Amino acid sequence: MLRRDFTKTNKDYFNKNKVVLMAVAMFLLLGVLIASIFGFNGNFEMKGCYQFTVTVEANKSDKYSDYADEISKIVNSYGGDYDTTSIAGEGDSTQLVVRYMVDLSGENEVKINLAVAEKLDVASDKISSHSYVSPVVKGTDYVYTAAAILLIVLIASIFAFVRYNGASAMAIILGCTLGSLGFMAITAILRLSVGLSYFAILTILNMLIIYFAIELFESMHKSSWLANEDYAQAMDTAIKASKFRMLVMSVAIMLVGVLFIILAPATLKYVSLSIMFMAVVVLAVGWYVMPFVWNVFITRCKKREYKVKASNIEDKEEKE
Amino acid sequence: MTKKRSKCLFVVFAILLVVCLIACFVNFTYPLAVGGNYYSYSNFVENLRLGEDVSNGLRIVYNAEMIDEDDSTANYDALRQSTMRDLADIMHKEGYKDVSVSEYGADGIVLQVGNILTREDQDTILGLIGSPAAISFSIDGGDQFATGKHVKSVVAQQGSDANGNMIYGVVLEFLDEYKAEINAKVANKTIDIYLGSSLFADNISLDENGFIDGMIQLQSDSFKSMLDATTCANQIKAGMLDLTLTAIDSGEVTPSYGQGADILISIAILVLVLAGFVFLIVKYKHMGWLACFNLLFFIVLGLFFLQSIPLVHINFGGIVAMLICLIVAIDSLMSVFENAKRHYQEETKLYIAFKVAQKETLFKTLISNLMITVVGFICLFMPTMAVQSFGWVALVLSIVNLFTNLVLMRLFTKMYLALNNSDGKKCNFHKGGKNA
Repeated sequence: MLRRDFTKTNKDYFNKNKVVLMAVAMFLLLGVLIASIFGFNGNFEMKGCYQFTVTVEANKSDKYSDYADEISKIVNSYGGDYDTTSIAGEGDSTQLVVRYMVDLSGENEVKINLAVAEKLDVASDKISSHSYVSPVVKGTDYVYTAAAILLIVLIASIFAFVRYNGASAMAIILGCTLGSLGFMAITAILRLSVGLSYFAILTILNMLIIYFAIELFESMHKSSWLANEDYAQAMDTAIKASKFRMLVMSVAIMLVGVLFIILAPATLKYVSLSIMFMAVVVLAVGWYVMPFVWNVFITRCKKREYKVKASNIEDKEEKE
Repeated sequence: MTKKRSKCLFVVFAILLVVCLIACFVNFTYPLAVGGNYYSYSNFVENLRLGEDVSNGLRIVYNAEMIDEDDSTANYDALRQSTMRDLADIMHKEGYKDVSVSEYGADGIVLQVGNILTREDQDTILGLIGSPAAISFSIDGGDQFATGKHVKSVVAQQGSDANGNMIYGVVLEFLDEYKAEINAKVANKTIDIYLGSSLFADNISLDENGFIDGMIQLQSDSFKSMLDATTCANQIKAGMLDLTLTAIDSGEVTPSYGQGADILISIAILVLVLAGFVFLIVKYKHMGWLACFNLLFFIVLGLFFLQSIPLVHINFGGIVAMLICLIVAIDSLMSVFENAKRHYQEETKLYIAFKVAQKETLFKTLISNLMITVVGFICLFMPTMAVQSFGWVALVLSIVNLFTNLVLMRLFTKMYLALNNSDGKKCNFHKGGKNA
């Protein structure tokens, strides 16, 4: 009886959410396609960058962000894909260290230098030649990071399997995989600058949020079932609770991203966007992936019988 | 626990919290001199080691040239890679963890070190690797017989002299294939050691055996501690790099996230913390205040341990870990409150509701924090600084959370229940299934 009910539930679930599931699948496919053709827009840690310095007067600290804005416009107008400007100071002068991502021809480099000299009103000999800075992240770093992330997801799945059931372990694996793919798809489609560290940290963050949502789901499911709701109703209650938690987590992450967008200098804005898109991914995982897993897989797991323990509450009240 | 005792304990903990908050956020100079000296105290937040994402750093650009320009067999790119590795290794051994070394142009290397906040720190690093000078060994008044490429290892060591006093020194060992040849040249001679053109050690007399086991021990009165010997060893190693490095540019560099990034991030965290506090107080009233009290202890203890552990650097990853642990701390408290609310709604007495709720959530809290501890531990072995920072902060704060949640909060709850053990309305709990 129970199995037949849930078979019907699975079909209903698919029918109700067909459009959304197809849209998500198309989105992921598009992301994978763009990433395969154009690659990811890695940041300077991963791809290296090109760099030149502009020496300005030391007492113009209130103008540095204006200088950085002007330089970014000039570099981008020549297709340089501007990254950052940092400030290095020594003695009577200050150097603006400008980084950009694209290899420009010698002619364009000279044009950039002349344009910067004119805009910032500095002598052309105060602008250095352009040099390549190699990536900080090496080939083995990618392997170690990937291995560590896989290990973390595996350990979390084992925790979930031991503590709860296989469906929860599956929720973590699928949630992390699709969440990471979703984030990579967004960054590939929008050409958002992404670093290895950000990707690793946001993937781990996604995994932890999924784990906490699973905890809530399982505890709500158990308590609803013990409160004499039937199994399907208990599932609904628990899924709603975990969806709400994922929504709260997603809103909290989005809030951090929005705060950064409002207050941050240009250098932090791409980090803010990464955080906000991760919030979207977390929400999508919480609202679609995890309920999908629970609806489809939970009936295939061993149904645990919750033993109702002797009520401590009644004992305590009797003593009172 | 009696009401009187509970009130006393609240006052004691409140005073303790105020003292801890002062220790966290306030700098001051002690008003009275001790032994003729005035001492100043710098707070926990200022002692946090920030990564290059959020703090000023030091940037040095080197020109990297072949030691032997005529050596046509040498692979410049491979030598540059090994030089970069050795340079990073030297910095790590000196305790500078937030280091990035990259190729610069066709023949340069750029080194960037994070969390270099004072001129003194800059000078220390520049003194170590600002102008790496090649080591060379000469017979007194004679020819050079060995350079850095003949040296196998340089190690700082400590021992004790005949009087039992600690002595510190640096031991150099030559490569096995050169030992016999070098000993033949130096037997019964006096030698000098140069770092670049500066005399590093002179008039070292050797007998007919030359260097025993191909090793030479350098001692100096300036080696007052193992740290001095280690720094000297690292200076020598800096002179043994595969390429000759000449610093062509150096200077302080702003955080890679921009000026004022640390202030911006502090504001963002403060806004989130305040939002969390307001939420708890509105939702749980008295218990919300108690939760905020507990969370302040969590913040204070967390900051204390983060600034105490020398390996912890705070950058983007560390900040994310802080936010996660704060959310987990709030979540753990809310789990207890929600469970207690549910039991209270089922016509249970308030103090019993809390007791049962704490028991029910014990395992969940343990597992959540254990999960974060395990994740943090694995992240310590990842290659990038940001993820290592995440690992350290997650590891430390999850353990602090276990303490504040399972020990402190239970104590505070016991203290509160001594004052109010029956009126659930003060905690926004209602009987009979109603929610506020």
